[in-house]
Amino acid sequence: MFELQGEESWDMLWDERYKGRLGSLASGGDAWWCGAIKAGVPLTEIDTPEAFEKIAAAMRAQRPLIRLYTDDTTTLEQALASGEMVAAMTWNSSATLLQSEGVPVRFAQPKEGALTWVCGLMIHKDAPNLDRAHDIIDSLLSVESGKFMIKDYGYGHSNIRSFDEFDEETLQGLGLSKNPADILAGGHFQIPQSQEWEAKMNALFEDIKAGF
Amino acid sequence: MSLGCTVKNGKAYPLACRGWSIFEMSGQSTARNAANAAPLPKTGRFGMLLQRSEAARGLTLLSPTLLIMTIGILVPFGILITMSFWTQVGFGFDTALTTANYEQAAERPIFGALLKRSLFMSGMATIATVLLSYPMAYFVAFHVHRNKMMWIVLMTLPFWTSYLLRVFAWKVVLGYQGVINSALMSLGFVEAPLEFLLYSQSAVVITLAHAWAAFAILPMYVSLEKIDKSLLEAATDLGDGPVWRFLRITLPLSLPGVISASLLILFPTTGDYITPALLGGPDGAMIGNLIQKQFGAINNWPMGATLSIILMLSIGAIALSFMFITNSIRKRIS
Repeated sequence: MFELQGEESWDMLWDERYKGRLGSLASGGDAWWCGAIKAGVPLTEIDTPEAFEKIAAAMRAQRPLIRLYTDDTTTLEQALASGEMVAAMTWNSSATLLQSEGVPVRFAQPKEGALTWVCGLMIHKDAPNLDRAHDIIDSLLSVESGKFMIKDYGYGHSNIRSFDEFDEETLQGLGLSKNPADILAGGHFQIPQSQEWEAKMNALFEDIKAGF
Repeated sequence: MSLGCTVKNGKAYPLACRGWSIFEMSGQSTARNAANAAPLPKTGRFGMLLQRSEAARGLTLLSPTLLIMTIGILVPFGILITMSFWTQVGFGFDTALTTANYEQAAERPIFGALLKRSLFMSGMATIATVLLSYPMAYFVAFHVHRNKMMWIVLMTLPFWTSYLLRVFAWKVVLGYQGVINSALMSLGFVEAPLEFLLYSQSAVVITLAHAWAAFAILPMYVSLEKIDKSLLEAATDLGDGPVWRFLRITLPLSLPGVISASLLILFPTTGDYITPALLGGPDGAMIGNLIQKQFGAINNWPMGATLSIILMLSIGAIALSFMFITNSIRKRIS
């Protein structure tokens, strides 16, 4: 479907040849950061006026090419499966899910590096039942949970023994590695931002998506 | 009351008149009760007041509705207005009153453009709905003589499923490999699926026109149904063919129904959010989507409140000009 010219790259999602057949997640929390990688903005400098300008320019250039911005991953997955879209910005779970259904897709490994993030847990200061928190953390860290995360979502896991359940080839196919440092080094790591930045970025990105 | 009823009776409002006469009947029975009760000395002071003052009686009847209107509409509306003069600071509000939001709404082109687009799209949806529903209402009013009730119930059929399901159903119909595209492709009319069907303004207009059809059919049916058939016979006797008869008698007499149907569809669809969100694509977004985002991702509730007020004001302006135009036309006719 997608005729690759040269290496896999973020440029694929800015490819004029596939105007109207590209898709993207609608949330600025995902798309804006990808725009930063495309625009060559280091993620540590994402909260600067120049970064806003550069990323906005990249997103505006992409806007006419996009068939649909949606936060509904199922819609993107179905569009990719039916051929309505040739490429879309998604997280790796979509690619893993489609592959398990036998749809010929792959999760691109862009030469500029992918976007990565780490989820953490947080305990609210007034949370009741603190004694049970340990059980939840334990279950999330268990090898069984890890196996599910890696196999069904293609996500990494914080228990290194989960990776031992898979061979090197499978992990590579998912864009993962037995050495967590490799995963983090291979991508651009999302860092926490202030509420003001989030609000400003979301407002600007909504303008761009609406065509302004 | 009864005077108003007879005046209106011959003209455009027999249905409204029917409503009045029920009221009158109850009024009469109250009067009769009062006459019976008059010799008895033990009538409560409140009861006396009710019997004497028509206004008090009306207000008592209205009070449950007034209560709900106050709690459910006026109070939230007050909150919305107040909030529209606040500003967002991080996760909280700066409650100092300022018109900054309104200034911003006037300055930045996105708000006006989305408002215009919303009015345009719901205007198109209104025209499409009324044009498609009028023949249905006409048919049931003039050509169905048995089981009318069943026909009316059947017309509300789309409303038996949830609004969201109807929107999703249209996504299946209009989709890339949807009903229309696969039919066209298997018949060999097109080689590749038509992409403009989904994620476009037309997709939103089509879906709205279907989803709101019953709101158009019912008022138009009511105003067509009450047309005096002898007027049509008179027109035929005086030499009008079917087309002229329709244009001179049926259409003008059914206009109140057409107008109320139009308003009933135009106003709620202007602020519609879920249909453009699911079917509109990047170019089909409406003002409702932006308002939702102000309360969601953008996290600027005061701006969302401001946009809601602006939307209400523009709809109010349209409603007023509509009323003004129909009134002046009516005056000119009579």
